[in-house]
Amino acid sequence: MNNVISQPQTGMRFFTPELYSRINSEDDLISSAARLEWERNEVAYKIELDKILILPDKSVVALASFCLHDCRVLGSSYQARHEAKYTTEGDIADSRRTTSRGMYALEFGRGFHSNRGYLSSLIYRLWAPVTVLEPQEGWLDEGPSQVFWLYDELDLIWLTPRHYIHRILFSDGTVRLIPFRSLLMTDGHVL
Amino acid sequence: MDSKRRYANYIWGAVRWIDLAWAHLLPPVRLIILSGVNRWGEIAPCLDGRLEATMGEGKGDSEASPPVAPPPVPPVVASPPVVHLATLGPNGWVHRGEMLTIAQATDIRRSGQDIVVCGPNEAANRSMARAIETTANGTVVEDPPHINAGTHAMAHFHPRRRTPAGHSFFETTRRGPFS
Repeated sequence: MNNVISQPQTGMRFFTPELYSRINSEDDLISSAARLEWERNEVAYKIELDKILILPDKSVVALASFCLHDCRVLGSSYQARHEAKYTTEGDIADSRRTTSRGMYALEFGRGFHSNRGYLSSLIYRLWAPVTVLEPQEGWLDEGPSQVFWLYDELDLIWLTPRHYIHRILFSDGTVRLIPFRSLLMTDGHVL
Repeated sequence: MDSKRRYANYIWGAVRWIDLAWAHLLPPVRLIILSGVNRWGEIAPCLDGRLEATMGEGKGDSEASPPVAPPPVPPVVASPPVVHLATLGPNGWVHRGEMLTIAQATDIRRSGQDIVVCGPNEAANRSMARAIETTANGTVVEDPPHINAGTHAMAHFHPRRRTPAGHSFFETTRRGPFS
């Protein structure tokens, strides 16, 4: 019996950039139909997510229920065995040059203009290189200076040993595929 | 050593059978359960029977059913959308507050608070929410409900740069605010 549960090298499966673009259409009919499709996909994704929620990986389960929507991407970093490289906010594209067997981190922030600001970090232990998919044609131009987290999908690729993939759609239209085996998540308020 | 290896093989086989059952047999069962009850154990009013109806659209193709006369369509009364102050509750709920004028709603959005546009016409609600958000904060984007915000999260507009904070929610035929 094959132990593979899902296909790893695909973009977003449920909350696709194309569907998101259709929701933002000027045409109410197109937008309404896309919203219905989105809600159907949401139900389908919940079913997929239930496979993960019963697993004993507490950090992954926590990530599945943690809302990072609209958080601003502050930076990303990658560390291989003998080398550390840090990429800043305006240089996120550099982080696509990763190899497997490294650690990959993403930092997010929200609410700095108010008194409720907080910082979050996701640190992944990779089992394959991180892939960045370019934005599709016609994507809403949100400006490259500020990149925000839009939607994400967690996927279980192999059950034993567990291999996951985290697909994240960002506001610049890129989709980041992060294959990971384990995860550390930190979250703290900024005073 | 052999017995240990044999037991390990038994356990490995069991894990694989559970894996197979989980991946192929349980999803249809969970689909039935999830269509009425969400994973937090609540009845999901956002589905409200409509999603089940849409998911079962093709079911009746093979069954011959006698033609039934369509029910009389009630006359449509055009009622304009109404704007309310909104507050966010647990599990994505949007609580509807006091009624606002368009000017008040625009000021409230500029100050970073939430509003919700309600009414029976989804397209009119969307147009008004977009107009208020655009007047208040310039270029906007529409976000569909996001799963981690909760089962009752609503579609909304917000500024492209996410400042000021807050949202212009709007009622759809499937998701509405908590009165």
